[in-house]
Amino acid sequence: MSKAFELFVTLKIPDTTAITALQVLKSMGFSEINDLRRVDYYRFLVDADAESFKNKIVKADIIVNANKHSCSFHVPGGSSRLLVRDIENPGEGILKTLKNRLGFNEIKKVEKGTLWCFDVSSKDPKKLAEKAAKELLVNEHFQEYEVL
Amino acid sequence: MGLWRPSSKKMPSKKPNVAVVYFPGNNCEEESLKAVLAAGMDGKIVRWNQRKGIEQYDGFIIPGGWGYEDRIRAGVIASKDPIFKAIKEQSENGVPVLGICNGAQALVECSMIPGLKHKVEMALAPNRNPFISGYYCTQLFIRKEPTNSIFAKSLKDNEVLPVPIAHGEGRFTTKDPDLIKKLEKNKQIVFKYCTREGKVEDRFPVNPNGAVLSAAAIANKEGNVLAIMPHPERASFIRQLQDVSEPKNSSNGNLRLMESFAPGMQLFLSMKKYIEEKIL
Repeated sequence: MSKAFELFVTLKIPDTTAITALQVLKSMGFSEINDLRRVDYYRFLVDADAESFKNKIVKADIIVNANKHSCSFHVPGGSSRLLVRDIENPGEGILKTLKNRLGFNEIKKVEKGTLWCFDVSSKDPKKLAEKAAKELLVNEHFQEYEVL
Repeated sequence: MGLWRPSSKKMPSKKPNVAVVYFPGNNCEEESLKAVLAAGMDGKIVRWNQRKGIEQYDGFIIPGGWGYEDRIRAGVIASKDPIFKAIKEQSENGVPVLGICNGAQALVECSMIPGLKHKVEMALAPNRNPFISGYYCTQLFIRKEPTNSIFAKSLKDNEVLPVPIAHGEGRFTTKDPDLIKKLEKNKQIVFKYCTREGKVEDRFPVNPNGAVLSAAAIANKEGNVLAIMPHPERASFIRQLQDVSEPKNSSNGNLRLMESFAPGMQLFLSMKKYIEEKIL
């Protein structure tokens, strides 16, 4: 039976994209956002032993580069979180590479996205995250999002 | 000499004066300026943070490249820059704005294209290409469609232009099916990807990125703003064309012919003509 795993990959070095996103949001009036972190999100559907797969996937350099990434199988913290994915084929490219070039035949499906983690001083962190999505972080004509 | 309009902030000038607006990470500003000057206009590369005096310019070009490293997604950070608000205000006065590649992405993200509602109505999404994922560059052809765009006035309907593309996010798309009908009705699709013979085919490699209706360039309804994904500034002189094209073949060995205008220059010549007739 297939099992699902979520992997969260974060930069250990400064994330200039997240820094820029925060600066632009603040200049757009989002003064309640204190911090913004960006995480690469992967969801794998696999036919394999859990621990064996986890140990193997974190060593795939195209997913986790130990020189600049840290990773976890636990959801990162934050006042609210925004998961953004492309509507079409969010993981098809990475699936082909993992299966055909790196031999991960146990992977049945991959979903790839970006998880934005907000630290906010707002009474409604989810509403703030949704507003940030609509005004900057998401183009709904080719992306979809979910506030977690 | 242009007519002096007492209510205008602009000084009368003999030549159109165009700003090539440079954002950090753009890399096509020099070629764009070269095309502007060769078309007979005055021009200057204006940095994104030089907002003062922006209203003095008669036209704007937003060049290609990787503005702000395409952080978050291509064109979106530039679209939020304060200078874009000033450019948008000028465009509402009829001033022409040409966005090339990364510039086109910024125009879509700031809702100037297609410009029918005061919100983002489209995306320039990642290419849909059966063989290559991501960035794709090649020489191809686009066909001029019936349109009100001021940038295509010097071209005949169905005229075919050889141009290069170089992008990873060039697929015009929208989740609003009514918008597609409106774009056709309003004649806002200015160029479509086609074969060398001018036949539009919605398949790779004729359509290199899966753009809806094979759209390579979309204008606003008024026609003074254009978002084009191919690079006309890289197809403005015969020497820039690919070696298999006829104008290039018959120009080989002749420096004067090599430096003469190729079809891509028509966009800049059209811009000049419009400014001389309507803005100055």
